[in-house]
Amino acid sequence: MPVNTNVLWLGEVRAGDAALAGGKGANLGELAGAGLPVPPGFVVSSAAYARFVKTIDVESELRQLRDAPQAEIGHLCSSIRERIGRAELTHELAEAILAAHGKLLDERGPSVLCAVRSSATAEDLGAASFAGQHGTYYYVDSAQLLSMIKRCWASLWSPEAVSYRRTHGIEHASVSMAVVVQEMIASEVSGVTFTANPVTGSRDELVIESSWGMGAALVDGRVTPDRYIVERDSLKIREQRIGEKRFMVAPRMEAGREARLEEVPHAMRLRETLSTEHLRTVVEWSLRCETHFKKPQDVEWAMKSGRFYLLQSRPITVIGREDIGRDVKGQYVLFKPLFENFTDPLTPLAEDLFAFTPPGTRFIHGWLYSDVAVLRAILPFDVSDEELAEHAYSNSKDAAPWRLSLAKLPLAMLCCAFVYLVFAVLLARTRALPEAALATYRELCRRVDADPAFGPEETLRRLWLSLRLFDPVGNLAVLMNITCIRFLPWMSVLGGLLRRWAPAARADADVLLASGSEGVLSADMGRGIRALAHEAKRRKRVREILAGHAPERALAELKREPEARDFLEELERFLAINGHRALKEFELRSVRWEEDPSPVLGMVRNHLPIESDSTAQERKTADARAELTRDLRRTLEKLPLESAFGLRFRLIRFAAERVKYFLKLRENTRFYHIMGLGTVRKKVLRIEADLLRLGKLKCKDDIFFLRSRELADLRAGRLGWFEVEDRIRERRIRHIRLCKMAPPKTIGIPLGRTEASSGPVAQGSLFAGQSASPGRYEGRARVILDPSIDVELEPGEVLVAPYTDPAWTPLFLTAGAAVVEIGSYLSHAGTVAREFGMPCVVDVAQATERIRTGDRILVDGDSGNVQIVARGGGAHA
Amino acid sequence: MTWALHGTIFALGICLSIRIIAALHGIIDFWHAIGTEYPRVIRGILGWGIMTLAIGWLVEGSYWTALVSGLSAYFLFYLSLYPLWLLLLRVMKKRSKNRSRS
Repeated sequence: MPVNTNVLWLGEVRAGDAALAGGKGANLGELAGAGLPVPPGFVVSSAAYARFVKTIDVESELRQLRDAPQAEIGHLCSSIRERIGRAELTHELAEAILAAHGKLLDERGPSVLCAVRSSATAEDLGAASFAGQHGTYYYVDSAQLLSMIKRCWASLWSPEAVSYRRTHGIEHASVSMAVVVQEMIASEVSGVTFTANPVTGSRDELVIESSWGMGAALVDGRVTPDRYIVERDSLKIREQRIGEKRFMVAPRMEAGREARLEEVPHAMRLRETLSTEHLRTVVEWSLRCETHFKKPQDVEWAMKSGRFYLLQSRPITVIGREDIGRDVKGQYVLFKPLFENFTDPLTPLAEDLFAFTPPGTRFIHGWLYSDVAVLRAILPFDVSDEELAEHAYSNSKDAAPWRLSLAKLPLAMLCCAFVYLVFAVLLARTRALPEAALATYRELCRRVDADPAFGPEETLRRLWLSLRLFDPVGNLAVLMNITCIRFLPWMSVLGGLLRRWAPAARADADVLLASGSEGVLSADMGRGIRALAHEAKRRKRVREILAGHAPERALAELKREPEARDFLEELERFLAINGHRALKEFELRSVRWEEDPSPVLGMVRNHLPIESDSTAQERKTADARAELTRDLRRTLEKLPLESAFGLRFRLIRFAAERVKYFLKLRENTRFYHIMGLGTVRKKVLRIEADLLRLGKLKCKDDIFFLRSRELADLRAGRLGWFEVEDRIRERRIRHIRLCKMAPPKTIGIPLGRTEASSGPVAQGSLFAGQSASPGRYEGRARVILDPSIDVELEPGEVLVAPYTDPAWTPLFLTAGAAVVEIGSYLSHAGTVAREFGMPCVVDVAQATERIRTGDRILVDGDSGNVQIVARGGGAHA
Repeated sequence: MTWALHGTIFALGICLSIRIIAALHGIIDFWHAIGTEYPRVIRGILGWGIMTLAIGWLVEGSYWTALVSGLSAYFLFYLSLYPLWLLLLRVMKKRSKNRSRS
C-alpha cells in the first residue's frame, strides 16, 4: 500500500494495514474485504495526520510533554489541540477527503450522514485499550466533516490520552491517528452478538441482545434489550427474554433537536425486535465473523429494511475478576460491613463524591476496600495478611483464634483511647435521644437544597461530614450511625447475663428480647406499603388500575380516576416521608421514589392479592417476647433476693433496652443520611438539566459517568460534549460489565485459600450462614434478584435475595423467612426481619444460585443454617 | 500512690468535662423541642455542673489542680477537634484526587 496515500477505501484496507489505517480502520477493512456487509466508507490515513501535524509545528510541546509534571499536561495539551483546531488542512488533503465523501454520497444518496471515528495506530498495542479517550462523532454532514476529522486528531492530545500513554510507557511520537468516515446506518433495530456466552464462557451458545433504533442505547446500557440465547449447532432458541425497551437513539437528528435519546412508543416497548428470520440472519453473519477471525467475537450490528449491516467485530473481551485491581499496589479486602450497600460498583461521579472515605479504605473500580496493611498496624494481633483478610471478609466462626501481640498492644490501646476521646461527647449526647431528635436533619436537607451556594460536593460534606460546634445532634446522622456500634458490647452483656442467670432460656432469648422496637423507620416504611395496599383494596377502580397496568402507567391512570383521590393522598403522605429512598440507594444514579413512585406502586400491587393477615407474624413474635419475659421473671425469682428487689431482671431488661435503642438508632440514622444523599442527587440533577439545556450533555443519566473534575470542566466550558462522549460510553460499557460480576474479595493477596474459604461454606444441601433473626421456618423458596421488577412473592414463601436494602422491606411483610447472600446481623435484612419476627439467615454464599425457586427449604435462624429439604424443579427467577 | 490518685482525678476531670459539654450541647440539640425536652436539659446541666463543683470543693491543693487540668484539657482537646476535622477532610480529599488522577 502506498504510504503517501491520504485516503483509503475500506475495501482496500486489510488487517495488516493498522499502521496506516489504525486499529479500527484495519479491522473494518478486513471485514469488508472478507465480503461481510460493512457500511461503506473510507479512511483518512495516519500518513495524512502526520503530514498535517508537520504543518502546525508542535515539536516543542511534544518535547515538553515527555517530562512535564502532571499539572502542566493539561496546559500543553490544550495548546496542541488549539493549534490543530485552528490550522487549515492542506488544499490537497481537504480535496481528497471531500472527493471521497462526495463519491460516498453519490453512491448512497445525498442525505446520507456519516460517523467519523478515531482509529489510532496504537489501538492494537495489546494491553493498551485507550478506552473512551479518542473521539467518535455521529450525524456528520459535508459541512462538518473536515472539522470533525480535526477533532478526532485533537483527541489524541487530550490530557487523559497523554497521561494514559505515559502510564503505559507509549512514546507520544510513536502514536498516530487515522480517521474512519463511514455511512451511518439509520437502523430500525440494532444489537450485539456474542458468539460465546460472555458470562458463562460457554462456546455452545450465542447471546444476542437487540433493541429499537441505533445501537448506542443498547451498548451503553440505557435500555433493557431483548435477549436471545441460541444453540450454536441447531440454531434453536434456548432462552428468550423480551425486555421493556423504554428508550431508543433516534436514527436521525431532527433540526434543532439536541437530545438523542427518545422514548419508545408504548405499543413497541414490549414488542419483539427480531423475527425468527431476522434472528437467523444475525446469527449466521455473526458466525461468519467468528469463522473469519477464528476467535469468539463481540459483533455490533444494525438492521435496516431487513438488511444486516456489520458495524464492528472484535474478540470477546471479558473483564475477569482477576483483572480488577491489577494496577493497584498494596493489599486490600472488601469492606464487609458496608458491602451490602455497594454490591454494584459505584458510578464514577458517585465514587468521586464519596472521596472522603475513612483512612485505611479506598474505592477500587467503584467497590469499597479496606487496606490490610493499615488494619494490621492497628490491630494488636500477630496475623498474616491472608488470615486478616479472611477474617475481615468472612468473619468465620471456625477461624483459629489470633495471637495477641504485646508489642502492638500499647499502640492499639492508645488508638482506642484517642477514638474514645474524639467521640466521647457524641456518645454522651446520643445516650437517650427522643424520637424527634433526628427531625432537624430533614430541615437541614431542605435548607441546603434551597441554597445555590452548595454544589453536590459541598452538600455531601455538609450533610454527612460537617462537624460544627453549634449543630444540633440531629444534624450528625452519619457520625451518630457510627456511635451505634455500642449495641455490640451491650449485646454481649445481655448474652452474658442470660447465660449466667437463666441458662435454660431459649437459645434466641437475647435476640428476641432486643427486638420489637417502636419507630424503626424502615419497618414503618413496610407498614406504610401495607397501609397503601389496604387503601387500594377498598376501591375497586384503584385495585383494577394497579392490577391492570404496568406501574409506570398506573400513576397516570390513577391521577385521572376520581375514585383514586384518597389513595393518591395516602401515597403522597408516604412519599413525603420515604420519597428519598430507592433501590441501591448509596448510588447517586439510583432514581428516588419521589422522582418516580412506580416502584412503590409495584410493591403495592404485589401486596394486593394477599388476603392473610400480614401483621400476624409481628403479633406472634410480640407474644413470644412477652412469654419469654414472664418465664425469665419466674426463673430469676428462684434466685436469692430476686423476689425482694428484682435486680437481676431489671439488669437484663436494661441491657435489652440498650441493645434495642442502639439498633433502632442505627437504622433510623441511616434513613436520614440517605436523605442527605437524595439532596446531593437533586443538586446533580439540576446541573444535569443545565448542561442538557446548553447542549453540553446529550442524554439524561450520562452525568453520573463523568469524573467530578470533568463535570467542573464541562460546566466551565473547558470541555465539550465531543470530548466526553466517548469516555461516557466506554465507562457505561465497563460499568455494565463490572455490575455483572462479583468483586474479588481481596486484592494483592493470594486468592487461593482466601477465596475458597470466604464466607460460610455450603455443603451438599446444607448452607451455613450467620443468624440475623431467630426462629425456624420451612417453606417454598422464591429467588428474587431485583425487587424493582414485577416480583411475585406468595405469602409464606421464603425470600432468597442477593442483598437487601430498604426497597426490599415490603417483601419482608409477606415472606415466611429470608435468606440473604450478603449481610450481617446489623444489615437491613436482619434489622427488619427481627422487627417483623421472621427467621433470617444472612451471609449465605451463592444462595441465589444454589437455591432455586420452588425448592422447599428449612431456614434455621437460631443456628444460621439453611437446608434444602426437597428440590422443587423450578427455574431461577 | 499519689500519682495514681492524681491520674484518677485527672481522668475524673476529663469525664466530668465530657458530661458537662454534652449537657450544654443539649441546649441546641433539643432547641426544636423546647417545650417538652427542656426540663431534661436543665436537669443535665445542673446535675453535672453541681457534681463538678461539689467534687472541686471536696478536693484541694494538687488534687484540685489535677481535676481542673482534666476538665480544661478535655475542653481544649474538644475545641481543637473542629479545625482538625476540617484539616483531615482536606487531606482526605487531596489523597483521593491524587488517586483518581493516577
